[in-house]
Amino acid sequence: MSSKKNFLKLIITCLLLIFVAVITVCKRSTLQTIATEKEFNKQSQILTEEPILPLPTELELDTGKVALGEKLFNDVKLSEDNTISCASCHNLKLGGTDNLAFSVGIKGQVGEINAPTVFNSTYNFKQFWDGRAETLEDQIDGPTHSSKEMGSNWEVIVDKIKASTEYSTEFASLYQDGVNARNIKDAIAAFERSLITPNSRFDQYLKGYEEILTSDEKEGYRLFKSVGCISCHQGINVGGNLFEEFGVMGKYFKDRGNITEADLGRYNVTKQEYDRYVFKVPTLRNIEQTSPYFHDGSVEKLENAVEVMSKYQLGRKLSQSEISYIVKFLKTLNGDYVRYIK
Amino acid sequence: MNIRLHHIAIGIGMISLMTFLFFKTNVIDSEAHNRFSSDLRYLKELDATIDKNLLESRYGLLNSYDKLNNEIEQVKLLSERLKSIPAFMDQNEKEQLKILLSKYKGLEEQKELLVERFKSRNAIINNSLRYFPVITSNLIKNISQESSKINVKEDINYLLRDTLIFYLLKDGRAENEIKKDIEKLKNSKEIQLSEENKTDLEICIAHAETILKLKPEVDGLIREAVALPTDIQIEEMIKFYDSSYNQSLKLTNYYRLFLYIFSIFLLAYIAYIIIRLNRATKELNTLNESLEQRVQKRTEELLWSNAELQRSEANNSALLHAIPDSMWRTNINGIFLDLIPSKDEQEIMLKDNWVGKTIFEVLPETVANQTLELAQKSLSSGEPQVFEYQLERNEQVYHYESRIAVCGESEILTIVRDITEGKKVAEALRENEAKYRDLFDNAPVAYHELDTEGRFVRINRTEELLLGYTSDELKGRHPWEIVVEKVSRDATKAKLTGKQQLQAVERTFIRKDGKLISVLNEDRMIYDKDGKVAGIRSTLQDITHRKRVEAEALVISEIIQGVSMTSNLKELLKHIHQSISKLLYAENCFVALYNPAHDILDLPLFVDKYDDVTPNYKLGKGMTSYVFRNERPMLLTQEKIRQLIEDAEIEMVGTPPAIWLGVPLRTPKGIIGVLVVQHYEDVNAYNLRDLELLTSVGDQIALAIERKRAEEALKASEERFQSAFDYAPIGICLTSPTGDFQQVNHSLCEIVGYSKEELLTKSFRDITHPDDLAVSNATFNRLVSGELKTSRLEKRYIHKLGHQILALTSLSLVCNSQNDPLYIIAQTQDITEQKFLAEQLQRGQKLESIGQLAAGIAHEINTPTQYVGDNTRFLRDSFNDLAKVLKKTDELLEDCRQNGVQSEFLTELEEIVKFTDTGYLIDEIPVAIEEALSGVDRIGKIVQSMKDFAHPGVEDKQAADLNRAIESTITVASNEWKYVAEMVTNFDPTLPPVPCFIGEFNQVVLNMIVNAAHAIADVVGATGQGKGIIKISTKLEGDWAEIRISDTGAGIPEEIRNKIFDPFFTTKEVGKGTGQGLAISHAAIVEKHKGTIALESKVGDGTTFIINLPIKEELS
Repeated sequence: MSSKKNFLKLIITCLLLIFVAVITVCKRSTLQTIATEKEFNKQSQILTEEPILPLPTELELDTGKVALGEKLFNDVKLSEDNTISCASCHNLKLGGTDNLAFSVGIKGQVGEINAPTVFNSTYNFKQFWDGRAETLEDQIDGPTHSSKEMGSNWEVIVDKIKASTEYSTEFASLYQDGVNARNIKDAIAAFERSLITPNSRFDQYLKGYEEILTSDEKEGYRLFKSVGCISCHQGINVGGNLFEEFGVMGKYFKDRGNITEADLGRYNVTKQEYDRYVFKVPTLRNIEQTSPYFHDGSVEKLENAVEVMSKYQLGRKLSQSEISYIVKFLKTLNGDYVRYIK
Repeated sequence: MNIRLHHIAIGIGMISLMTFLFFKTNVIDSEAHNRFSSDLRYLKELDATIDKNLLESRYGLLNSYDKLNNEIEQVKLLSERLKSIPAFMDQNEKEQLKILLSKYKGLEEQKELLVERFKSRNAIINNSLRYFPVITSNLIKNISQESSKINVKEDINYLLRDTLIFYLLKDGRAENEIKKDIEKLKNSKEIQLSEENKTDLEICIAHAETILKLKPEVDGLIREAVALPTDIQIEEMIKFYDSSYNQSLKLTNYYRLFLYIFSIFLLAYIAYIIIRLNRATKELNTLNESLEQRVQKRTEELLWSNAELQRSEANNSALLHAIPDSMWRTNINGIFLDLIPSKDEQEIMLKDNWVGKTIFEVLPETVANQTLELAQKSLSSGEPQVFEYQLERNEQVYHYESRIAVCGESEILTIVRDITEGKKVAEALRENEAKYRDLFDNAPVAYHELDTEGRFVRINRTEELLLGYTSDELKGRHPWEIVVEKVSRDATKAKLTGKQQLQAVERTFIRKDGKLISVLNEDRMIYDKDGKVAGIRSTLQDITHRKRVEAEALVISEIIQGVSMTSNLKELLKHIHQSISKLLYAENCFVALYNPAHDILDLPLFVDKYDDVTPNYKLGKGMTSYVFRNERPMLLTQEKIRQLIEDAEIEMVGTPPAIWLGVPLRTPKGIIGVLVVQHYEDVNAYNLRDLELLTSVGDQIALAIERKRAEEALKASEERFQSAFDYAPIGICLTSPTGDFQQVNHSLCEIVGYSKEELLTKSFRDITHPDDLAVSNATFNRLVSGELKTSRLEKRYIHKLGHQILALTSLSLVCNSQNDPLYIIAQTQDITEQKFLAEQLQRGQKLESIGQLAAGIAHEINTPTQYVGDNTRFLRDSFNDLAKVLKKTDELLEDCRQNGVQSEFLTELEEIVKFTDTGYLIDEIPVAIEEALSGVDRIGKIVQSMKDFAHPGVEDKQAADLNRAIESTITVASNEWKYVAEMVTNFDPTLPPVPCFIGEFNQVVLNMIVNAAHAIADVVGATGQGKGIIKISTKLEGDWAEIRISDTGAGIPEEIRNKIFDPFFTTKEVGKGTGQGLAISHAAIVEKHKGTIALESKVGDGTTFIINLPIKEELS
């Protein structure tokens, strides 16, 4: 009798359990709508008809990583013989370049291609002249490993960095797994993302402060658009968003002579014939400060650079006055770099 | 012990089964599902956006490639995110989805490569396209100022035309023409262009070549990129994912159903156990009763035989104590005589305390009263009486059953049993039943049962809510009375007879309020205990919502399809309207698009029951404008509208609706307009869900509209080119290879006087002058056969009104890629007027030159006339003198004959002879005669030359001796040159007669001589040094007669060389020339004689004109 009573109790408990379970299941079973993610709205851009967009003035970055990255950027430990740092060739006081046709690496070796500016490189759609790196992080492998540049490798670099207690504590505070190649690259890339040059006079003009440009500079911008420079040098970085062949309207390399492997450009990456002599279109921001020009550093003066471009890329003759207007416009693209960590 | 283990095992088994089912019903993580599913759909949307942006870049609608780059980056991020597949999919499905995903990634990478290449090429071709026409027209302008290279100019024009045609046509038809044009230009580059123009020409060719090369490449890249089946791949992923999701959902539903069924089964099992328990209790009761009777008997025996009682008291009391019941004996008044409490109640019923007391003292009054009452009854009837009562003790309710029997004559035996436990079981059973009832009623699944006739037996509360009917209302009715589908009646019967398999089906039920709801209906048979069909048990799952989500997805995909299916914005909107109507009530619907140019809202779609079509209205204070400005979707009831009007936010336009729903049409660039639906009667026509739905659909619509607009812009530009064709100032037509007109423009219609429709039914032969038909046909056939690519001919057409028109027609053949002739483009220019003027001019010039020559010729004739006169006069005077001498000689002869020789006569004669100087006369007279004769000859020659030169209008070509003709012209013109130049001629005697219009030829030579003389005169006049030289030579050069006329004048400066054949161009001072000479010469030699005229000139050294005439007359 009493065992039966207990059994009854057990069953009732079970029943209650079932009931609770059923209710829970049913509650969950109501179909939910497919969330229509309005990701478009996130992208709501400045409504401008101009093909060039101003750089942002505010960034949201991890200050710790930026500070660490800055230290690494300036640290010669990244090179084999402790002579070269990133800043050696990307001097922030020289427009993010070294103002040399070809940079000088460890043991006085001369490189094969002109060092592009590190400023605003985060806005380039790919990195290197031949676009072989997709991200800033990937890019760092290039110079650190190149025998003519830093001539090192991650094993060595990580060991050197680990040897410094200061670095070790900083890494430990920012990254769970401490010092390793991925974190070093992450920190340097974070710093590089902070290297932007907003508030150029031209950006201010784009934001509606029209009087800031002289009429000559405005004429220069008009010419820049009308003669076709804008076809390639466009977007937020005034370049850096497409590949283009150098010498579409004339044989630049034949005329220049002495073709090197670096001149093959993107062909070196894809081995496709259509990529021969194809390069990433470089940014024109701060162009006044980044002489000499082109991947071969062959031109010193901006006027001459514009002339070469008009001849080989646009296939048209520009008059001297037109060139001087365009150059005046280009000089309005100089922005201000403000250290992210104040 | 075994039984307990058995039950525990069953318990654990059931719990684990329930847990298993519970987890099975819970496998779908709806959050992960929503995320994955929306990622997939977003990916699809991005893919379409990339295609759209590609097309926009192609047509220069996109400012920069940043957008494209961002989208590609997002696609990459998304496809990375899609790698984490929701957990409910099984391993196999995951693998398959991963394969689909990696396939898609491959396509996506391919697409990115294509996009990269496209960006590069597109930038170049756009530049070239912009610059090419500019440099070409500059070049043409510059060349026009230079030399005679009309051909070059024409060729450049052809290049421009062909290149633009090539760019506009889709199939690269003009490619060969461009190549030919370029070849031609490259060849002609060498001749007489200034350095600057040469470089310009090179640039021009380079751009043309760039366009030629890149246009197909860019188009190809776009085609390839857009044709990559990324969307299909995504669609496949979506399909695959959705199907496996639905499968899992179905499976989960099955598990859910199992869970319910299992629960019901469990309930049934519990009920079964309870019934068994009841039965056990009854058995116990019977046992008890028999025991009671025995006890009663025994008690009676006890009472009646005291001794026996006392003797076996110990035994009895032990026995009595063993019974679970309490017993007492009272007298008729309720005074306790004896008491045997049950084992459990010994503590309460204290024997010593109770005996002697009345029952009123120890039991509640009601129980006591009832006991006495029943005791009376028992006394009178002799039957034992039973009643139940409750007592509350220690805050617990105890149930007792009291049996009252008469014991002897005045004593009452009461047996009280504690039935609390049994009561509790019964209570629990009742509760369970209520719970089951509750489960049935409140189960979240709508549930009903049908009897064997297919009639409703009952429906649960969820279903009541779902259908709006109460259970009672539906009882006895058939489901098909409230189902839309017609199959239900037969299906239900078929199911009941077991003829049809039970399947989950989607049904549309009509709610009591008339609304339709979609449900998933699943049936199960109910069997009675004999295993016969007792009815059907159905669950209904409301899938209206799911249906709607599906409908929404369908509508979105329809809208996307609509973009490609419809030909213009209006149609697209109509299509969109139809699609929306599937989602919600859209009898009153309009789309307002903002037109920033006029700050108005256009209404390209307007459907309304009451209001008339409004074409557009100013962006004002209407509700639509309100939504547009606030960029927020709004659901407005009449009340809200009133409030907004009160707040002066809006003003009412048109009929006030009962409910109004407006959503902004958003594109990434901003709001382009508003989509509005409204209902005039039903306030509940729309709800928030509709608002949300329409908002998301609205975004799709906005994108679709944007896309359509871009397309329309493209179309408009094509139309502009069509109108350029239509309204070109020269007549243009396309004819088939058979010569039938296929397309004609306005100008051509004007030239020939026929309407477009009339011309399109004709062939070019129908309007060609019969005399020119043979030549036209021959040329046309040579074009079609490919012998010629282009041709120009001057021919006559017959105007609709009958008169003839002289026209210059340029023909070119367009072939397809297999080189089959497609059609012929003809450009026709009416030159009737021009020709007439030219002829007038030529005639005028001839008269003019004859007039001019007249004075010179008069002078020419005057000179010989004068010395003929002088000599004749001298002869006359001489003759007078000689006459005297002769007379005297006659006299002397006479005298001598008569008188002999008289000396005086001789002296006289001698004197006269001396006086008249006969010797001189004898010497001079023959000379004078010769001179006079030569003068006469000269005059004769001049007159003959005049006659030759002015040759009475010969209409046909005749073989002529050019040497003689030139000789005559030199003579006729001698007055023009002889003062400034020496004439040196070098005629080739082997030159055969050349067929020509001699009058015109003479005119040309005269012009050349006069020009040469003028050129020399300028130099001689300026330097004052002697005379220049005019050299004229003829030479037989193969099939050509070459005439060179050179002078030692100043030469022709480079920059005017190309102008000298232009009409009215002259360097001479006013009055000295009309500027027609060389133009007419050019026309005469090139057009009439099919010859050539060219010049060599060196500044400072002089000029040579070289005329070549064909010796053989060709009739073509």
